[in-house]
Amino acid sequence: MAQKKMTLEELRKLREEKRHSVQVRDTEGKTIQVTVGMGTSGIAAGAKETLQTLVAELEKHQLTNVRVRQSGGLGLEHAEPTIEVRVPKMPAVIYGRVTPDVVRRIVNHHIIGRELVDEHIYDRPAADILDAGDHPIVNGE
Amino acid sequence: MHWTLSHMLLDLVHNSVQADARQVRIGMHQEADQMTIRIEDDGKGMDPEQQKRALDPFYTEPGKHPGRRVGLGLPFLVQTMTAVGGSYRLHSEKGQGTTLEFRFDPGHIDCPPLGDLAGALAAMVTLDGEYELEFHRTVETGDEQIEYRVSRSELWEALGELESVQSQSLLWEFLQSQEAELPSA
Repeated sequence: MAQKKMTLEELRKLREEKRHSVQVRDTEGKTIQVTVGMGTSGIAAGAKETLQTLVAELEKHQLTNVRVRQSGGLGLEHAEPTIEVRVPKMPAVIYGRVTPDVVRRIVNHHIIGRELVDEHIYDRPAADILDAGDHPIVNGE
Repeated sequence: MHWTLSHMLLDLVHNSVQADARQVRIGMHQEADQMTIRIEDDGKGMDPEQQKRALDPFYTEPGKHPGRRVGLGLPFLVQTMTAVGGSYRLHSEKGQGTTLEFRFDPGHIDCPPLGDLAGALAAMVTLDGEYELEFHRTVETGDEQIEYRVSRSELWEALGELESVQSQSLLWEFLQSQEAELPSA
């Protein structure tokens, strides 16, 4: 059956309904940030599908205090798709070769379980990619 | 080349936002055997020499990609248009912005599929930066024309913000519903 075309007013109503119905899962009340590398090589390697799976998985676990952002390439074109994960009190890491299956593992093991997914860690964010001064949650602050 | 037209479009819009555009307009018009896509931005633009180099896959803007010297956004477009017998026009003025227009037959055997346009559009409006993005898509089927328009500012206003999981999830749902009314590409 064809999906009904939603109006902006219906979108506003849905937003309000969700705001009231979702119980935020405990993640110590602090903001987690995940950045998806969305440069040409990332897109070609499937970064858009990685982003969509990430949002769906976070939504599934009601992890509503996670900010999802996009950037250009994270500097690891050989390991695309790449994502950077910043969880308070954990090292900031860049994961590589993040297929939809891997992104589900990262959500479940890293963001929920607080354990790194070692075999997909490629780097920490390089100084020229992220200025720590712009990010209040860097290094668990 | 990118494996879907939606990926290519997302990549080109990303270029506009990275070129400091405050306004990005995308028009996508589809008829039986012709698709016309126009991307217009008011970013930093390119002089004729830069335009020539932008089409060269072995060149990228200095500083854009630390550690490498290739840039593939526009070359992928040229490659795709060459493969499907389409055409493209690049018009850019330094300090004024860039307009890209390309036409092709989406039914050409070598044309990549449209892919997930709603997902690509969601990604286009949630890129980092302060910019307005207007998207207008029309599909003509016989004597009927079906269309929809969305803008980043109205989506932002409706959702309150575009960075949370909840907003992005609703955003996709909304955009998918706009696409669902259209006949498949």
